[in-house]
Amino acid sequence: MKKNKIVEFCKDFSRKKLSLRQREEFSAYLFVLIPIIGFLIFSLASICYSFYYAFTNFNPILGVSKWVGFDNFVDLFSDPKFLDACLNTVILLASIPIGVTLGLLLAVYLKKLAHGSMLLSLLYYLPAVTSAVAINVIFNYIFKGDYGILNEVLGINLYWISEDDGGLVKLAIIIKNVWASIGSTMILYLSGLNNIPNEYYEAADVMGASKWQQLVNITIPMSNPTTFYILVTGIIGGLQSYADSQILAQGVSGGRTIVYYIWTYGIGNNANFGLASAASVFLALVIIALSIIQFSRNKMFKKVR
Amino acid sequence: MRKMRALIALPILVLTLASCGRNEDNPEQENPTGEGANISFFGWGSNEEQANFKKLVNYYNEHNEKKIHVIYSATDSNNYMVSLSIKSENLPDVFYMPDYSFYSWAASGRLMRLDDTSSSLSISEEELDPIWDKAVDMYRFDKNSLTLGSGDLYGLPKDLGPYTLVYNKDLLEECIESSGGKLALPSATEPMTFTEFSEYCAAIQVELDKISPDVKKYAVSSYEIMPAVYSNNSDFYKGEDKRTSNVSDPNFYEAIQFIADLNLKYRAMPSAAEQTTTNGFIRFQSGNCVFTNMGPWDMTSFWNLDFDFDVIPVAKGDDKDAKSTAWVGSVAYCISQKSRNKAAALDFIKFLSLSEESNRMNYELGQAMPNIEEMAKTDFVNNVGIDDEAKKRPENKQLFVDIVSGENPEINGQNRAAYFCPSSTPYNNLLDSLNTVWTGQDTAEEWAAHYNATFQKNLNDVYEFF
Amino acid sequence: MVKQILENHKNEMPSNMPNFSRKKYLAEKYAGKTWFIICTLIVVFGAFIMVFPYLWMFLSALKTPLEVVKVPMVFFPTDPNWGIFTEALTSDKLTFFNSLKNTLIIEVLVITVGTFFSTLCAFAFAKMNFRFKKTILIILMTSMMIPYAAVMLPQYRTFMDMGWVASDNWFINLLPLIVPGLFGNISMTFFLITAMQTAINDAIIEEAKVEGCSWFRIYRSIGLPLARPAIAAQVIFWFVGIWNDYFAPSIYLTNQESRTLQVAIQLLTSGTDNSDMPLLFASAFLASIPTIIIFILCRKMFINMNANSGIKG
Repeated sequence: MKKNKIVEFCKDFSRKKLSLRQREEFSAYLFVLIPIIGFLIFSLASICYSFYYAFTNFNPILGVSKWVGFDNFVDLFSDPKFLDACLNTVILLASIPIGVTLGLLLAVYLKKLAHGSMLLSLLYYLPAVTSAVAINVIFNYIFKGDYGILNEVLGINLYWISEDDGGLVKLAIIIKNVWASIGSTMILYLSGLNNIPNEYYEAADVMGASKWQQLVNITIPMSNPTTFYILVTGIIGGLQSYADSQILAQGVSGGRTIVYYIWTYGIGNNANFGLASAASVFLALVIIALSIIQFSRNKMFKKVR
Repeated sequence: MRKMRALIALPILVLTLASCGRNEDNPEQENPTGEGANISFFGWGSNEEQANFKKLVNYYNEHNEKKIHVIYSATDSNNYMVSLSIKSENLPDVFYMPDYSFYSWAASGRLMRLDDTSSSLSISEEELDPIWDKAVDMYRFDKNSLTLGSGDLYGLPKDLGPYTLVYNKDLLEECIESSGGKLALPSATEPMTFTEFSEYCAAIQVELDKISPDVKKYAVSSYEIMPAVYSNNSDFYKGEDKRTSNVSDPNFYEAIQFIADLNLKYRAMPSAAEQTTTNGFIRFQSGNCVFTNMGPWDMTSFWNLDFDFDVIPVAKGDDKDAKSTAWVGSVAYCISQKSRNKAAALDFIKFLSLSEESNRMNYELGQAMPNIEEMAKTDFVNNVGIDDEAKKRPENKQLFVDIVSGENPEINGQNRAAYFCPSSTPYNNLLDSLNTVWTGQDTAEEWAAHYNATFQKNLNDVYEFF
Repeated sequence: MVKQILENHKNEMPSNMPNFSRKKYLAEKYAGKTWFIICTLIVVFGAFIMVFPYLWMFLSALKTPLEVVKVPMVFFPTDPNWGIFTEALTSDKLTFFNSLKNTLIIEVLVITVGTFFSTLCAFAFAKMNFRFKKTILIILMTSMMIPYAAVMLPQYRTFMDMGWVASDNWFINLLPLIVPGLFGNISMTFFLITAMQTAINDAIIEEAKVEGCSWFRIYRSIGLPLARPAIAAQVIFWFVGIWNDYFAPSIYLTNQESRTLQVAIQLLTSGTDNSDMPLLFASAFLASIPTIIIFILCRKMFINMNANSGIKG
């Protein structure tokens, strides 16, 4: 019976017997179907497994997997290394607002520029197209203590990457991340600025508004969706950073992030997948919570009924 | 519209293709002949090592009726253990097993036993006889009593690497000249005591600062903890089963203090921060230090240096009965218990580890000291087969042999600390915690007083499954 | 039919407002304004900082291995080794062209198929009404927020069970990196939802609906062209993201025949000595050229699209 109904519906659909409303709904479900399937297979199923592992002492080398309740979480939050990693990860997020601000200003400037904006935007985008491995190796040379490039240029002798001064490691990583992200931020803003009608600025000019006022009252509010996107994806990406700790910071304690902790102390050393899963589930929950807060305050979401 | 249809069809096509190519062999079925076997191999190494490994495989295939086709190439060493543990239910046929991970893998039952005489696939005692006992025993594990060094054999050594002190001869001779003959070259056979070494380095440092006022050069680039502890009559663990922390042993923390003082007191070694920024290897390569550490695997890179160098024994404690003891690292070839090509795999690792050709090639390429005791003592030490003068360095190769053989009463070698433990976490955490000692915030004694309990707790944690 | 609709609405589009002479406009705006010059100086100086590491990478490729790590550092190679680029292209260590082929196979399959589904999905969320829309959107967004670390192990085991890991066939080894991407990229969808909400005029869609256009046709003829700048920007991002990804590939692609460019490049860091550093920099430099070309090609699409994009106030 049920099958017949579906067949009927499809026939109706092809004969355009359905109401416009029904057609719209049916088409929409078809349109979103594939990503939903992808989500079910690759994300939902996997996260459920990880969630289960988080409550076991799963160790694939030894082949044990016993239910241990909240033990992994207790271990995690009593490990000063993990707490440090959490703190480091949060501090390293500071590169996002800096990158957003610089990227926006740059996009505004490049949009105004008549000539040479092609070359400039390419130059600013270069970091994004360069191999992450090579970038990290190079920044390691730049932030070297003995005769490192930055020290030589500034005429100072700081040990950026060392156990002694964790603060400097973080600063080095933040500088590198700002450097690496400006290009992408700029591009997103450039494509977003297209959507701001010119007559807004013309009207503002007529009313005698200064360039600064135009930036604050027109450009920034009108770029809100872009800013929101960059912030959300930036935080999601930033919370998952790994290569910075591994290659640039050489595993120095001040630069260890949560994901570094998961790989090195969870999986790498002891194949303690239970602990690693607990840490990654915790990370997922934090990201989801943060995103929900961001989303609930955003207009885009309100527009979607 | 047609384009769009093609786009939708693509993933379906890909999925179909994929399911066609699926490997449908029965996993339990043994490939009996091993003829033309595809051995999957997993390991890490620099590109030179990979290239040399390929040479060995090619040699093997030229001289054997059974052909080996190596499927895996090596990956990066940082991710190696991560990848290996992720793959632990689907291990490649042959893979590297570093000594510091051997304990838990041997206990897991995932490694094939190599000396099971009841099986047709086994290695006889005669075959193992020419090999260093130390190298073979390292990969023995008794599953019942959970003891290393005796019991069943689970791996064949890839190499056996003593890690000792090396010095820049040219730079040191400059210092000697500048000192007006007050200094002399260090003895190649007689180990210095901690005090002698510290004072020697301090004296070199004075000359270095004269010779090179602009570029900071150091007497010693860094100093390893294990040889200091071992050479001061101490160890990281105590007790029969090595499950008890020995950090509070005065000999242990005195050794740590000796290292810290090289920087804090004698100013002859870079600070911990400087060491992180430029590691000893690069400092040595750039000619900016006299002493650093070297294992036989470094020979390939050191042959390219534009200055002369040689090795000396590590310093020993000031006590009379202290013995200069370097650490000896190793990696094994292991076979997966689930492998379908056990016969071919065993034959292949026998060639890699035990054969004369492979061992000769290894030392000629500057990769390792031979696993064959006799070859190490004669051909390796006397540079048989090596014509290039530069490749005959270091001159004092006898030291590598002495560290492993233990035949010289002054010199010895011991396994790395992490080898004795199912996880390297306690050892790595201990290294991390030492930073306050390096900076002089704590003395080694103060550090030991509060860290002993933490180390013990870390040890208890890793024995959870054992 | 659709063309007609677009034609009818042309007059409503602000981009068709009487155009100011751009040059005159700029000239008036910046005449005598010193801050513009200051800004230019800052931006040009910034550009120098941005390029410096890249330049340094290029110069280091030409150095000897010892010069790369030499303390104190050497900025210009004493004897530039131009042969390093040929070596990077031909060396067995990299198998450059084979790795490039693998990278391109992943890129082409994932980007074409994945972009199609992502844009389709974004269009539905931006411009169509259906029940449970918000719930479905929240669920999809969640998948973007799940860290890779949390799904990696189960995914690896699934792919392993399917025989996609460590297979003898180089193409099958690539599947774990291709198949998830075919289902679209949620991050792209997320960006395009807002872009489509602002870029596409509801009135056009209403009219097309009344005319009896199918939704797929509305998507193809109105949605896609109007959102092109945003799509172009996202395609670049995704392309570059896949191009430079090395973490997952280095776990899945251990077979030399299947490895991607970044995996090959990453392998060069594995030695204890620095003998491969020049080769690493040379190959990283060569690997960045295709992405630069793609950027130049796509950039025109998303920056000079002013005249074509429908704008809703």
